[in-house]
Amino acid sequence: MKSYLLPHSLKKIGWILLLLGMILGLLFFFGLSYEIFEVKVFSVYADPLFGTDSVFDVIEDDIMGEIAGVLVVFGAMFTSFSKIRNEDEYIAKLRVDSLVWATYLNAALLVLGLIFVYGMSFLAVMLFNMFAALLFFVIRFHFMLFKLNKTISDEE
Amino acid sequence: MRNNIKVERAKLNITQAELAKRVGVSRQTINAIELGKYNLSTVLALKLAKVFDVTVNELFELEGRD
Repeated sequence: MKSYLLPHSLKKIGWILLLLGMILGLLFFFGLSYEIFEVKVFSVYADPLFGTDSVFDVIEDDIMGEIAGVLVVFGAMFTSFSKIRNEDEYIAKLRVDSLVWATYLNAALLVLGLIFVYGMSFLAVMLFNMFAALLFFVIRFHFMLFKLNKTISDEE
Repeated sequence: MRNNIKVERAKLNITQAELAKRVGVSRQTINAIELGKYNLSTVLALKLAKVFDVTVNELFELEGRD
């Protein structure tokens, strides 16, 4: 059967990217910025708070958040969508179940955020929501793998 | 779904790990199937039946709750 999974070799790379992305993302979230991230970038559309809007233009921006976001997305995908060493159909089921579970949890938290958080703080809810589903998935899937590896057989 | 994997394994005198190797899955998967925690695919059912030289129907049986 056709598998949409990535090669096993990407798993380790995924963990590294995810870790780097999380650290960078947290630093960015708490307002730290570094000059090396102030660069000229190509943007399809930009409407800065101060200045004029631009379409298909090169602008100057702090890309720390962008780098962190891309790293987290790729990291999360690589860690959980690459084959594990002894990949089989049961693992595939655990993966799909984890994805469903993560989507439920994410939807529940999003609804709570929509109902109870107002004003600028809602931006934080949206920011969190962008990555939460993937992160919940990574955590749940690996927790299930951990539990699976701990099951002692009822062998002779 | 009930299964006779454990009985058939005993007849052949092979461990879960050995059976897992023969059908190309992990030991944990065989364990989950034996315990009735996982409804396996048709392909895997056929492979297991082949190892034990029985039919799928002899290896698995529907239960009331299925």
